[in-house]
This record gives sequence, structure tokens and C-alpha cells, in this order.
Amino acid sequence: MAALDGGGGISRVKGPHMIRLQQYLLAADAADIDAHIANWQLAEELFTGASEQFTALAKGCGDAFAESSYTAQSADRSYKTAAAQVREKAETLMAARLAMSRVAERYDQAKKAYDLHEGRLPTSHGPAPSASDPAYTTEGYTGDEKARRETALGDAKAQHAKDAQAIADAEREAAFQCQQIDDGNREAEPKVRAITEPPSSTSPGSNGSGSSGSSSGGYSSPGSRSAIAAAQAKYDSVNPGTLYAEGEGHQIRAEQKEIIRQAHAENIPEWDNASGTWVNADGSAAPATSYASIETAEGLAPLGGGAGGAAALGIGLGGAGLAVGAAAALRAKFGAGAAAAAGKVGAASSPARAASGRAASTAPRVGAPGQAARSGAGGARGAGGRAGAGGRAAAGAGSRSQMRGAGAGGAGRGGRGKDKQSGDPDLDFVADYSADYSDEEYERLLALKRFDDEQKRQLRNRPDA
Amino acid sequence: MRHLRGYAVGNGKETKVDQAAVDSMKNMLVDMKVDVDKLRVETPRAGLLGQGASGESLKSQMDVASDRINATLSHLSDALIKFYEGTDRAAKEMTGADEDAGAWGRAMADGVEMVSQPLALNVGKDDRPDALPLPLPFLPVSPELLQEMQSRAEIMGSFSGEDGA
Repeated sequence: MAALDGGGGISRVKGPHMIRLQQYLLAADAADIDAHIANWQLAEELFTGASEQFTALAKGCGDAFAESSYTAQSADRSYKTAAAQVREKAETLMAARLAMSRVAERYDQAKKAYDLHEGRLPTSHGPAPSASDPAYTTEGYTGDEKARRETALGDAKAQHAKDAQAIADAEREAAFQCQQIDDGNREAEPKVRAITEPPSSTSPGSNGSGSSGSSSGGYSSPGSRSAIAAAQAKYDSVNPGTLYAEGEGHQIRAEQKEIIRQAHAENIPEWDNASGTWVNADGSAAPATSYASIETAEGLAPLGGGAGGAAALGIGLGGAGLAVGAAAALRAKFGAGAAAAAGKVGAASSPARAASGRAASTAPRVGAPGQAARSGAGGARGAGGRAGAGGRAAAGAGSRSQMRGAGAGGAGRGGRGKDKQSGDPDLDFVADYSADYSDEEYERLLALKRFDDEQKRQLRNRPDA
Repeated sequence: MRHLRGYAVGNGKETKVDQAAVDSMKNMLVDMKVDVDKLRVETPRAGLLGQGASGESLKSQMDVASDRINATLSHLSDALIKFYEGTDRAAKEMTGADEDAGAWGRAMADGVEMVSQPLALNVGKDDRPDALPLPLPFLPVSPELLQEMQSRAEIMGSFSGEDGA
């Protein structure tokens, strides 16, 4: 969550994907790309023309020199070779030029989408308005003033939901456009490399997938999966009871274990050249989490359409603010202990529901994205996916830290899952993050989550929302 | 090859050089060189593809590609000189003025070799005659015309001095 200065000097609230798209588009311009490609086209036409002229010259040899002479035949052959060679260059340039014009198209579309959605984003987006807010509370008020306050709260909630929806829409679109640009660039790069790299040098890098994107150093930086593989190899090669140059075996193993744990938590998606997909730390396909996902207080939730996406946002994009707001509200109502205790109570008597005084008429939405990301084995991935969105960029460190800072209260919570201990040490240390959080912390977060869920549910159920 | 001079092989037809056809070939090569020397591919400006990883990677390839294209054009320009020389010498050898039999063939082979390099291997300086960015005072020609004159001088002047040799 960060508000960057967008166009026109108005700062808008942008989610991580909008920020990422903004970086993608920074100083990029489709018209400039086209203008540059026009130069390539001139070169291409020049080579094509030269090829035709060489062919004409080859024919001319027969006129200039006695047709059957060695001179005529040899010169003819030379010019024909030259024509073929120059034509080949023209073809290489054409392939690159066409690929680049598709790239320009994608940048153009992304820019339009970005501008459209940026204009709709709110300039600020804090915690959802709450009935416990002094500005809206009806306690101690009666009659018209109470009605006025209720209407004001309703309006504020509707506005908040609208803003959240706008941010969610922008995020979804931005994620898609980032993917479009990445795919377009990835497809175009081999064509441009045909100009810059001799054909033989690409063969070691091409391992069947035909994508040479991997051979570019900057494009696919190693992600969590290779980090884990490397650490695991190191781990396996070390004997716990032996003294090594780097230290004692058990220490080295502990270090590697920690590296693996962190890599799983970070889950920087990595381009798998063999399968041609992005993979998570655990080797599963990652495109969905790396692009169309959104950071929530509970970790990373996939961006579903419509209300689901917005629901994830209610927590996520409100970001730290919302969680903090909810915490404050809970403290005000129940005190910390009560909140923690209430968190343990089932959904039927959620403290949030009691607080708002509304009947628990709606069925609990078990499938809420944030919850899904947190539960079970998904916990590991949810936690990682949080970092993943930013990690996909090669400037991963920067964007990740940005997201982390943005997520503030949210960061790191995704991994909290009540995983069953499987008894397999390898699996257990992967999925269990209990060492990171105390039970009190978990209960507190759970209470926050329930509170927020309840608020969202109410928003959804509003007839005018 | 010397034994071929002046006589056709096989069919008994007298070997001759059509000087007009040779001149038109040479003119064509000169015109080609003028065109080749005019085109410059600029390096794309910084940040053309934004700051995404894939964009920056592609942009760096574009930078190199622009260099390669210019270098390839430069080599093509040089090759045209060789082709001009080869065609010119071939005509002279066949009319009996050669002092170095086979020189034309070597020139042609050089030219072929120059254009046969793949784009990627065309590294090195672009040494084509460049249009001066500023018009020279007191010089009654435009920079473009000056460049064209240079182009023509490069290709035609390269061995015009050998005419009498």
C-alpha cells in the first residue's frame, strides 16, 4: 500500500500491482518504441533493396562480361551470394521489428489501462468506517441525531467499499497488464537476440523450450526454488557430527535449514525453463500468485473477480490501517483479553457481530480468499505469495521491501497455519510457522480477521452497496 | 586465368567486355553505397521500455542490436567498395589492362565475406562517412550532399589512381 504521486500531482492509493505497473511504464512510451522501430524498418528496407540490387547486378554480369566466361560466372556467383546474405539480414530485422511492434502495442494498452484505473483510484483509503468511531457512534444519541449518524456511517461505508472496489479493479487490471508486458517482452527478446547474438551462442541456453529469456541475466533471476535446492544440497552434503572449514556440521545444517525456511517464506517465483512456467518455492505453478494476487493482512490472496476480490481488499488494501483500526475498535470494546478470548469462540458468536449488534443471518463465508490462503498447507504458499508478487520483478528486493513496508501489519501473517504435524521433519519445518508467532498473537490476528470479515459481510449485505 | 584473357572458353565466341554495362553496374554500386551511408540507427533512449525486469532486459538487447545494425551497414558499405573494385578490375583484366590477374576475384570474395557475417558478428566501429551535424560556413553544399560526395569519393576514389598503373 503506498500512495505514489501519479499524474497531475494527485496522489492516489495504489496497490502493489499498480505500483509495479507504474514502474513498468515509467518513461516507457509506445510511440517512442514505434519511432525507434521505424529506424529498424529503414535498415530492413535497405537490406531488402540491397538484396534486389545484388540480384540485378548478378544478372548484369552476364551483360557486362561474356556470358560463358569464368569472370561472368564467378562475379555472378559472388553477387548472388551477397544478395542471399543481405536478404537474410533483412529477414532477421523484420522478425525483430514485428516482435517489437507487438511489444509497443502492449505498452500502449497497458498505459491506457493504467491511466483509466488511476483516475478512478481514491486519494486516500484508511480503515473501514466503524460504528465505534466517535464520529459515527450512536451511543448517547437519540432521534434525528442518531438517524443522521447512522446514515453518515452507512454513506461512509458505501464510499469505503466503492474505493476498495476501485482499488481491487485497478489491481486486477494492473496484474494482467504486467503479465501482458512481461509476456510480450519475453516473446520479443529472442527475435532481438537474433540480431545481437550469433546463432551458435544460443544453443547452450536453449533446452527445448525455445525461450532464450532465461539466458538473459537480468530477466529471470534465481528465485526461491533454486535457493532451496542449493541449500538442500548443502544440507545433505554435511554430516552433523563433523567439523568443517565453515564450522561444525550441525551449525551448517541449521543455517541451511534456516535458509530453506526463509526461501519458502519469501517464495520468489522463478522461471522454470524446462516447463516454461513460473514456479513457486515448492515447484508448483506460480503464475496466478505472482500476477493476479493481492496482499492482505492474512497474506496473499488470489484476486478473484467482483466481490471476492474486493473482500480480499477490504483487509489487504486497507492494509495496516484497517487492521490497526480494527484492533483499536476491539480493544475499545472488549479489552485485549476479551478479544483474545472471543477469538477462540466459534463463528456463531463472533465478537464483531456482537459489537455491531447485527443478527448473524448470513452464512459464514468459509471460502473467503484471505482465509483460504491462510488455511492448511496453503499457509506456506500464501505467505510466500505475498512476497512473490514483488519478487517476480528482477528488482525484487526493492519492490518486495516496498510491499512489505506497505503491508506493515499484514506482512508475515500469511504463514500462520494450524498445520497438522505430519511427522516428516522436512514437511513440518516447511509448513509450520508457529515459532514465528505466539499463540496470543495468532488469536489476536484471528479476532481481527473475524472482525474485518464481519464488516465486509455487512457491507455486502447493504441493499445500496 | 591469364590464358582466358580476351577469349571465351569453349564456344569460340570472342570474349568482350561491355563497358557500358560495367559502368551501369558500377553506378548502381555507388548509388547503393550512398544510400547505405545515409542511414543511421539511433540507440534507443534510456527507459524506453520502462523499469520492469523484462523491459530492461529487452531494452539492453535493443541497444546492442542498434549497434549491430549500424556496424552491419558499415560493413555493407565497405563490401560495396570491394564489389565496385572487383567489377572494375574484372573489366580491366578482360580488356587486357591487368597487371595483377585474379585481383578482382579477391576483391569480390572480400565483399562477399563482408556481407556474409551474421548481424551479431558485425562488431566494431561504424566508419561510414557521416553527415556533419553543422553546415560548414563558406561551403556551398549541404551536409547531406557533402556526405554523399564523401560516399562517392570513398568508393570511386579508392583505386581510381590505379587507372594508369
